[in-house]
Amino acid sequence: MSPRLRLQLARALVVTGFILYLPANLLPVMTITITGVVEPLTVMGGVQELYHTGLVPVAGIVFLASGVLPVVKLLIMAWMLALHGSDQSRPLRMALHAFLLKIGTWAMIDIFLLSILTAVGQLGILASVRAEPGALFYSALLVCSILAVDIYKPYMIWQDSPKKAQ
Amino acid sequence: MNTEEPKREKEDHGEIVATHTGNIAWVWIFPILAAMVAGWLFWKQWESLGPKIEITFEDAPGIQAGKTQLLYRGVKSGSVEAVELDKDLNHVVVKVQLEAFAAELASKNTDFWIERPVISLTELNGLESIIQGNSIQARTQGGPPETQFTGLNKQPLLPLEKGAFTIRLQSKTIPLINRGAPVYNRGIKVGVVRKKGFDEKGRPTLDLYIDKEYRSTVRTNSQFWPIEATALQLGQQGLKLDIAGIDALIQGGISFDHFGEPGAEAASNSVFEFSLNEFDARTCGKTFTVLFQEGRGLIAGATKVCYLGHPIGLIDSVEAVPASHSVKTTMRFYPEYDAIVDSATKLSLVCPRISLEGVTGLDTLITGVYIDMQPGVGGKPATELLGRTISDREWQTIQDERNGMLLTLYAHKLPTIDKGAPVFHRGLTVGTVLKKSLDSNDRATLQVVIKPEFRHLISGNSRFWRIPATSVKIGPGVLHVELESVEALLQGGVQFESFGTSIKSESPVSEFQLFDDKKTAQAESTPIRIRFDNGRGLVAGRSELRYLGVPVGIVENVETKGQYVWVVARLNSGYDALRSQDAVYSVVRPNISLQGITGLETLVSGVYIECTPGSSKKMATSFVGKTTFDSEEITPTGLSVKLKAEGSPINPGASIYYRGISVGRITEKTLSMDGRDVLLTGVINRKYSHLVHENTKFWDASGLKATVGFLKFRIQTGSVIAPDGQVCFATPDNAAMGPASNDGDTFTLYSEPQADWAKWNPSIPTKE
Repeated sequence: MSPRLRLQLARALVVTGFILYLPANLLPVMTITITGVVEPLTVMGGVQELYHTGLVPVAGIVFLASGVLPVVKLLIMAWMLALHGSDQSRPLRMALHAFLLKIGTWAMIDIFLLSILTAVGQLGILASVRAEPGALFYSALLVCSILAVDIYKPYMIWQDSPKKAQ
Repeated sequence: MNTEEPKREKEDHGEIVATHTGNIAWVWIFPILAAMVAGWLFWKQWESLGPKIEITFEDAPGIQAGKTQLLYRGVKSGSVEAVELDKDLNHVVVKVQLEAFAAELASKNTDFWIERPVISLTELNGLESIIQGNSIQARTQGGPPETQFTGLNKQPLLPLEKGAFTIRLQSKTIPLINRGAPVYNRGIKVGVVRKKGFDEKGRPTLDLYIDKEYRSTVRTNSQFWPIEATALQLGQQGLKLDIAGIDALIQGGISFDHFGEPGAEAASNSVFEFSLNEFDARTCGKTFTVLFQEGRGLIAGATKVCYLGHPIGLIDSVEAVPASHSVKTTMRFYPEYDAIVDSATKLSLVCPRISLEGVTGLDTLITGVYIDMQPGVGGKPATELLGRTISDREWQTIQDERNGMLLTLYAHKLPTIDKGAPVFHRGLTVGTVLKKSLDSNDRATLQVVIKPEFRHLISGNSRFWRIPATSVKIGPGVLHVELESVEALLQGGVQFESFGTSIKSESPVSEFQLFDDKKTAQAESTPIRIRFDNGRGLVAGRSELRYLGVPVGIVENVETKGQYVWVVARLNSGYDALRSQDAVYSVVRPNISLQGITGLETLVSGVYIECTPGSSKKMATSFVGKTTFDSEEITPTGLSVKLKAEGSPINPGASIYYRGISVGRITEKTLSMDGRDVLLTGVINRKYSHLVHENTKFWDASGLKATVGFLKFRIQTGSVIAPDGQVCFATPDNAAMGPASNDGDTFTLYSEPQADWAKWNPSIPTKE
């Protein structure tokens, strides 16, 4: 894969990520049915729920991990791609890229938990947990951000823009 | 968002164009694809949203924003977006986002209510809301669009009621019938009570919903009545407990039917009267007005009218009318009986009556009074009738009173006769006592009415007497208990009869004396007065006057005046000879002696006065009476002789013997004029009077005679056998007997007979 393709692909994936971010957050990721009460939950809705229940630290963690982190990743990637070819703050970009790669490992933890919850939380009519389209968008968003980070190789940070090179 | 999307695309596009690297533009398929999918989703979401509405509730328990659903026919048709209180905190405003397909619910005639679980004996409702939480329910009848609603407080009974068939019942009071109570037609449930409330006039109403498939059962002449949840019936068949059903027990119920010819089908929203009970409903015929003299026991809506014992009508209203002093009632009958009620119909109040005619109306002790209807003959159609509150007999009395002959009977006192007592004539009841009162002369009077058909029996010489409840007559050897009638036993009675020749007076007599008994009544002559030395045993109104043993009169009064007892007596008609100047009256008392027992019948019949008619044509009203012991002895037709003695233990009453046969009696013992001798008057029976001749010898034969040794010893006491002594006589043989003795001849009474007297043996033929 040529660096030019990688760059374009990364850019396209970041854009896709941003687009997916909207439905991923607006649509419910799961529905919890407890004794007949159907409760669709979006990511932010879940945070709200936790917050109202009084679990403020947990709410904060979830908010950061599931709500803020994906978009921060996308924003960092977008910033890095925007600075592609320039020589500005290249060491910072390298560090951030390394960081993104690291946390990318944990990115799918939400989906992982959701899938476990969905599998385990089938208690007949008393309670059931079901994944909703939001989860699909959410996981697609995560995949996009992971792939974008992966495709944009660190060496490309050091590449000069074609104009500069000429 | 959708607007944002194409921008990004353009930007990126521009960059690509700027870099001239078109060969790898395929990578942008990803964002385009994502944008399209997301955009489609959002559009779909937006498209499914209907209008937003606001519903105001009194309270909204369990309604949560974002969770509570709006259900219509069980389908989620919207969801609550917000729950707020209005400014003055009186209501809850619930904002609902409707689904697009349920946009029609936002129309004017839509009702919203909160469904909450209801668990009661009669209904189990909203079970799903226990699990799912409360929800908002809706029903609609269409109408122009509207977004502001006021929610119902209660769940309506019929969630879907387009074209529902409703009717309204009106009544003065509505019994315990609750919303949701079933409506039955001949036992089939055809509807429910939808609403209980008041109409604009303040009358209680019930709105009923009738299932469309049964709407033909409601006719214009349908009658509605409440089903009694429990009915405890005490009747001839015993105690009966009816339980209509558990739901009726709690909610009550309504039944309806039409009686008579079915009417046209009723229109929706018609108004019907709600009857008090089934019987009230069944008596839906014409209304008749009936006047009663009194309304005791009549209860509006409860007192029934029975025909041959079968209830066919009901009293609708009871109202006392002061103007006519009567009770005005309105009553209705089963429609099929309307035709037989006319002006001749007899409507009489039946209540328990215990009279001597029998016990009637005993059933009314349990069922309450009722009105008995008897169709009359030849009546005209009428709606205003007269009713009776009295028994047939009393009714008859009133009729008699109007048409019969009124008489006044007076007496000194009137025990044992009461109003209503019968008047008998030869055992037949011919009249009734109407009234018992005192007149201006302080006499007790009875107003008596004689039935019209018997008025000819009353004449000037009719005599009335009281019937004692019972009279026990004890004659010689006869015990006679007379019981005139059982009625008379309690009420007493009056009897009358005409004695003697009937006097047809020109003007009808209307005033009579009431005698104490028949004997007094019969004794109609002018009173005679008899003087006695001793009135022992004579009882006014009871002691009789007898002639030859037959009662001919009665002692009316016994009084003492001076040293004597004066007896006032009356004789029956036809015995004028007994009032002759020289008639003799003597009291007969019982006498028991060794000679015989006389006047024994007076021991049971009481002392009586024996009468002997006189021969004189001259009538007297005052007599001197005698005392005697044997009625037979009194006959003064025998030969009267006077016996002279120096002194004698003989007393009046001593028997006179001839050859050992009692032929007469000493009746009087007096001193002679000069006081030297004792004069005994003896009466010889007429039968034997020829035995006494001029030379007849009388001697005293009383006492015991005994001869002790050569001394003649005589015990001079009155013997046990004949305390008054005995007199014997003998007549010499034919040649020496002399002429027959005359009345009043005087003889010497020897103390003992001479020896040759015993040898006399004359043959004396009887004169006759």
